Amino acid sequence: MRLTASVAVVGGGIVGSAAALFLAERGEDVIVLERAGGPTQASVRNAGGVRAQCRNRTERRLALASIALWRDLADRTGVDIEYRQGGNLRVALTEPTLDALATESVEEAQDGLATEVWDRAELRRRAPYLSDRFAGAKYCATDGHANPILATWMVVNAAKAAGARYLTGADVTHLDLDAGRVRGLRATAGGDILRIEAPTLVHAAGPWTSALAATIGVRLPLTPARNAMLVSQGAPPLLPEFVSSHEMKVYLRQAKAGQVHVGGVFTVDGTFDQRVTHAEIAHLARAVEILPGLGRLSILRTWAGTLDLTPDHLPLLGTPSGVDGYVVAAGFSGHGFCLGPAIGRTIAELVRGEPTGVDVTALHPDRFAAC
Amino acid sequence: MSCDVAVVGAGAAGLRAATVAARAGLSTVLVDSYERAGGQFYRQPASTPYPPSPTQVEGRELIEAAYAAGVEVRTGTSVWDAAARPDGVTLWLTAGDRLSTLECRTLVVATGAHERVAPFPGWTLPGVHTAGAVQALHKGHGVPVGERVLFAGSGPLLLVAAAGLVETGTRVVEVLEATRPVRAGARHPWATAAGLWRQGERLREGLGGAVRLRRAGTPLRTGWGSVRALGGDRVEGAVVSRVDRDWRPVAGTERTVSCDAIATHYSLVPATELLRLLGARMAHRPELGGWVPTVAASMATSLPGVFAAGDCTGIGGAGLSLVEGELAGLGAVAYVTGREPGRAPLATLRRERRFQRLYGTLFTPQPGLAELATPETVVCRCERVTRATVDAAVAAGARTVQSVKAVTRCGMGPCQGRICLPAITRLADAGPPPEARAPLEPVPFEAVASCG
Repeated sequence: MRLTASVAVVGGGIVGSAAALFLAERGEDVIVLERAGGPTQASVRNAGGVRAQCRNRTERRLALASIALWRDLADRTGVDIEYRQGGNLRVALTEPTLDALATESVEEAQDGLATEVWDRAELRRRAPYLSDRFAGAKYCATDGHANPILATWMVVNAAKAAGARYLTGADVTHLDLDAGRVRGLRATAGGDILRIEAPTLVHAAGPWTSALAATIGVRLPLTPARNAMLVSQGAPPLLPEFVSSHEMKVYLRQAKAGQVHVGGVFTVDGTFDQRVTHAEIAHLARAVEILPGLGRLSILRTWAGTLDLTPDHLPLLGTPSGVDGYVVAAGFSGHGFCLGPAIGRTIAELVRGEPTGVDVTALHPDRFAAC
Repeated sequence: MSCDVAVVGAGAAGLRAATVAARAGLSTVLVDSYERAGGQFYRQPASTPYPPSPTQVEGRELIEAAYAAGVEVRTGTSVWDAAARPDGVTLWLTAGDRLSTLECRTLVVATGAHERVAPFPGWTLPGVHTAGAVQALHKGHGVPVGERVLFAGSGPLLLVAAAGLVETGTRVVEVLEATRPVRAGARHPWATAAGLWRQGERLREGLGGAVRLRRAGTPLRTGWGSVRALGGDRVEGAVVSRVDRDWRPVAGTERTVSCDAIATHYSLVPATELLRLLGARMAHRPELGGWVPTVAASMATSLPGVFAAGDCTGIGGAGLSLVEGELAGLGAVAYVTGREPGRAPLATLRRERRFQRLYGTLFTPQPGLAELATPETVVCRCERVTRATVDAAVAAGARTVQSVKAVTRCGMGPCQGRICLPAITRLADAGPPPEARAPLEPVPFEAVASCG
């Protein structure tokens, strides 16, 4: 089968679908190729955190844009994505860690992000349900979390409604280039061979992006990492904030249905294996050291996703030099769900040659070209 | 702690496997979730006013044989996580809130089966039970579930559980078996004859059950089924009807039965969570109850040093479980010692396998069962997900059990899909075997945080 499009998007997760949505809204004829039946990987296998605090400057600006877009998309579609701006609380075990958070708070204020630094007493007063072991915390009231499954499907359905065509069960096998310019791609779908002619390709296939990119000589430094999560039994409201400890490598949030989701351990074992190991479970159970009320609850389920880590844990976004029409959007290092809508809009702006709302030159994939 | 052989499940297969291993001189640990060894078929009484049945006496002997052989029996203990190592298997155990670790060189999985639960209108009303639960309450505690009980479904356990309840003086209003065994048997005369060959005891038990029901005045109807449960706060009755070969209700045959409890039984589903967690190769075999591990003649699974026996390898009953348990025990001994396996009772095995084939021919659920649920019927009672929600997810593109689960939350509650996923499998495409993940049983955060 032969199809033509103005943009072909490889990967129907949050990034690919948000790109498809904003491209289709700009009048582009978009085809999305998705290997599975819908979003099944990191887009839906994450903790659903939507936060702007504790980020690198470019990501902070993207996150601020994303937060506005998440709210707007939920309002526009009328879908309940369980989005809750209950605040994000980054706790600090030691005074030096708290000092570093205070420094970060100043930089955040310069970008228009309001955060508060709480000392030990303030943390006890504001979040008495947390353990008393912390020296303090940084709090961002406008951050929060959503249900990543419902939210990603909302974006997929919005992209479809805007006119993007989704080909599911489609495994992209070749990217076609001619004289340094994208011509299209080939894929297999249910035994059929698909040929898609498109002058622009958006490649947003998470950790699976690098293998296919390598076939056209583009080297992307992506490492798969397992992101394991625990889910508690349902419980009455325990904590409104998304709480994380960088020092303990544990974060947690309570979903709308009452279950507490715990994550924070990223295992790089060189595989795409999503089986949660016992060591990961034992590590994440330490969430009781943050939220003692969790102790009497049971661990009901575990699951894992595969993240695409880059060496600097920042995304690869842009057109690698020498491959016109090829836009890479990968390497989100666990930040893709939150940033998804803003990244999608930025991709649409890049493809259309519009000025980008957020300056993303720092994320250009060529920064690792010498590696 | 470590041992040569760990056996999970102290029913017919597990008791026999552990006894064989311990008799060969291997250190053997047998764990079971229940408070007493015996499993479902040989369930031992906790406190009951009735004298033990012949089956319970037989079970008592099996348990005593295991103790006499030196098996360390740990009841009230569940496996909540497991990992295969190059030199064996690690099991993480929970007993109440106490966690422990067991390292074994070889593992025999004998986890039995769950009853298949089919959602139908009214099935979440108090008073609707599975026949196995009715039997467990009565065998273990002498407690009847109601005063006028309707039994409906398919499989020998339906008849056996109903006959057992009649013994206690409880009124069983009707027993409705969806299959017509005589007609179905006549369609497969050779399988039937072979399956019943030297099964005098089973036939006697079945006929004995039918006779007891008849004496109590309980009609036993074949080709009938229950369509929905009636009642406001609890069961007050049921609508029953004739069903055709596909178990679809026959129009115009519906009538109302008055009862205060309903016991349903739609055969059994192999309990394969531990095998799937470990990554054993699985095959979908509807006639064996669904997903089962692929096993060699020695009952070895695809994983080195991991054996499986009994109903978790395919529904076949206690007789086959005993033989498979013996084979798995012999296989485990050979694996640990490096010696040739001992002689297995192959004639009994062949006889029991023929019966297993007949059981699969007669009692494999038919498509009509999945159609009982109406759009409003709750299919996942933990998360209160209706049939309409699942159908909408399938229509919107969720094709596999995993994606239906993700979109609807069906199967994400405390039962972790044991009840609802077999039903969902019939609504969505089967796909790959559903993933099993730790924890196999809920475990408290505090316990895991303090002792891993």
